[in-house]
Amino acid sequence: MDRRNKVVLVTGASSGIGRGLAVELARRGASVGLLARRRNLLAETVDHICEAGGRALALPADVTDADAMRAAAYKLRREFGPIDLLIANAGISVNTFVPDLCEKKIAQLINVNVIGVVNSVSAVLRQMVDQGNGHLVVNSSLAAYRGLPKSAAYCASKAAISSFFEALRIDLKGSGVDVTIIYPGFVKTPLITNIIRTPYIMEVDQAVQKIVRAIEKRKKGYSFPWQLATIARACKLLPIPMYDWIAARNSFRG
Amino acid sequence: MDWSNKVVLITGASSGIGRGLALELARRGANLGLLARGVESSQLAAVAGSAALLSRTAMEPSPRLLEVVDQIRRETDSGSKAGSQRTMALAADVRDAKSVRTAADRLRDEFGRIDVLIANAGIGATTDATELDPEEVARVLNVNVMGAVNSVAAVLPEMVERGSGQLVALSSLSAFF
Repeated sequence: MDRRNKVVLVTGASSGIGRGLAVELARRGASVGLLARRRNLLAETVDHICEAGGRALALPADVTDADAMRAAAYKLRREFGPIDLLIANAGISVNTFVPDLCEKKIAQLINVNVIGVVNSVSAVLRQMVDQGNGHLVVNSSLAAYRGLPKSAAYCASKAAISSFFEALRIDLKGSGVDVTIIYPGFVKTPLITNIIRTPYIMEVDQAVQKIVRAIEKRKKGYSFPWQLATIARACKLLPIPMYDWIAARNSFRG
Repeated sequence: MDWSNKVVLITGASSGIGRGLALELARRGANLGLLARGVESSQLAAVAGSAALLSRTAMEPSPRLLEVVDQIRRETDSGSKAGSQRTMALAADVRDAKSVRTAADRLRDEFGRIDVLIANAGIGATTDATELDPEEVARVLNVNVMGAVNSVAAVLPEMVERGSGQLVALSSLSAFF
């Protein structure tokens, strides 16, 4: 699929996979709206894209603010036209320890990772359905497959958005709006700084190439790298006691 | 299993499965903390006059929850094996971490410990993809996800310290798909 003239909104675009996707899609000819809270980082990336001859717009906003998200989508439409593709990528990660759960931190994570995605979808979906085409992409995680040690909140948030998008995929059948769920493993981004074991870790550029390919093929779901994806799928089939035994001995977090 | 020396905290206990679990566990002799959203104790405030300032924001158990407690009392009084079974109604909103913690503390103060948490409180909603309402989704997640997190957070430190306890979550088959 030709990305030329496509209008793309990427959330969490100031760093990591979001930034990589924005730069790559702009390079392939898309007009990209980069959304994140950190204004200066956005400006840097937008400059970088424009210098290379691409079209990009910085949209400083917080995904947890539904009104700000709507306003940002409006601004992008006014600048570049109707939005063809949303990449709901913004996400954070925290360690969850027992027994002191620190529910404020968990609420904040659910707010960014789940409500943030919902706000992003809500800001663009009406227009996509009205025009009869569009594409919703969410950056989930292989952590959505099963609960992982010390990652209760993160896994819960990724399982939540995966199910949310799966339900939307069914509801949107026939509307012309496609839905893609991306399940990455470990990618070298700021998100994984508090993770100590990162098997099959990938460079951002490599992950970005894989994700772009999945988006262009309009895949319904895409898990990578294949080694960790295979392990995650196998874990889903394990009986609970066996899974618990293995998971407890293979914690990714300290 | 002997329930008679157990203290069980059930959230969303005023109706449905929560209520059903409360009635059944009471029959089996468990001591219960039944948690559900409260109603503002406005009547109390009106009567108490000068005490109104203090009690204005106080919540008291909803009539529906008190009905469950009443039914348990009637059943245990009519000479079942439940014997010394005790039930406590707790007004709290699972979305509010502090109110759940306060309720759990009150239950512990009264019964000494909490052996089992049944995180049952939940709501359902129809999500229309094309008319997506972020506020509605946030409301569901707040009750169904953060409600469970807040309930676990309120009981877990004591359980881990004691070295025993049981956490039960009422999920749904819809989680499997």
